[in-house]
Amino acid sequence: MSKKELLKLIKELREGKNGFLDIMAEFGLAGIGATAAGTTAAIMGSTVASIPIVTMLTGFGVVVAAPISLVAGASVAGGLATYGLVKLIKGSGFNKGKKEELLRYYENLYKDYERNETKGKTTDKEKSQFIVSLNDPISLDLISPEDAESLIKAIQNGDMSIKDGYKYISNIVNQVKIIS
Amino acid sequence: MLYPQSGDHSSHAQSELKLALWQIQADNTTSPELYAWLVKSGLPHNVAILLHELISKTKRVGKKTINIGKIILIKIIDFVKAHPFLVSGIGIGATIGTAIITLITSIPLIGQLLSPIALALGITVTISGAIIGHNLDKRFSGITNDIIEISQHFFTLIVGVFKTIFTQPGFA
Repeated sequence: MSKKELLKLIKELREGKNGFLDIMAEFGLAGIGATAAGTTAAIMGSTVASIPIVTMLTGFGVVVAAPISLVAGASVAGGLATYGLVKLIKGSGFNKGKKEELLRYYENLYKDYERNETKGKTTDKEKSQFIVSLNDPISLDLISPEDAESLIKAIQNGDMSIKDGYKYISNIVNQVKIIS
Repeated sequence: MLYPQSGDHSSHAQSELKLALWQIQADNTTSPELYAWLVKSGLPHNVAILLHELISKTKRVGKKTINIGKIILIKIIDFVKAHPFLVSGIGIGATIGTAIITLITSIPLIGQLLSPIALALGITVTISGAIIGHNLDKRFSGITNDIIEISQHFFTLIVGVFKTIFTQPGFA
């Protein structure tokens, strides 16, 4: 799935006009076989594109330009592009305050989930909430679309716990270092 | 301005996620599936057996055990599948040999896992990392470097993630 498709999936889940499984099915993510989880066909010949993005994050605009260092640092291996080798994000939107806001957001989600997890099997609502929480990391290229898709499949199939999912994402946000 | 903490490598957290996703892929790939592929691939039987034995090799990363051998085997198979023309040009053994050379020279820590396979393929790795006596040099003089470059390009992500994980304190 492309970044655009992932963000569309998140938007639909957030709006909740259709049921979780209907939306997942629309994006080809319902009833995924176990062997498909985390597996992406390796296709060489992928190109590294520049990643300029203009995005809207929780109410305010952020201009995130992908500089040369990000493009140069992005690698293609096994057909999977990865971002974030040398990532340089310009713009005032993703600042220390935004980082702290995101970390608090994940901490609250994690605690909420932990409080309720004795209920038993992970619910579609909890899965949906997790997927929606990937919006900012995907928008900011902190996580590649390939990894985001694999992560969603892993959560959907029960291959990864939602708690672990929140931990991985909040650690990624936490390790973005802000310098002035 | 924002930078990840680890300079030219993916941040540790990004690498941890990547490794977790590869582990899930490994968990969902069965040993018979891998064995069947190796047997059908046309590799010499002894090499196929040695490659299949990789799946039993694990490493501790923090509190988790990862199936490093199985992950590497899956990536080597991905490399072969992604390069059908390379396989038809230089053969399955040389293609896998190229992958092994790249991995051994890029990630010394996994050299011990792959050295028996390298030996079976006629690859000799010296202490300094230089490789001598490989069939590639004998058979494909002049294009060996190009072939190795293709392999290095393919394995960039895997090498980057393993290096980031293996250089962290607490790795065992």
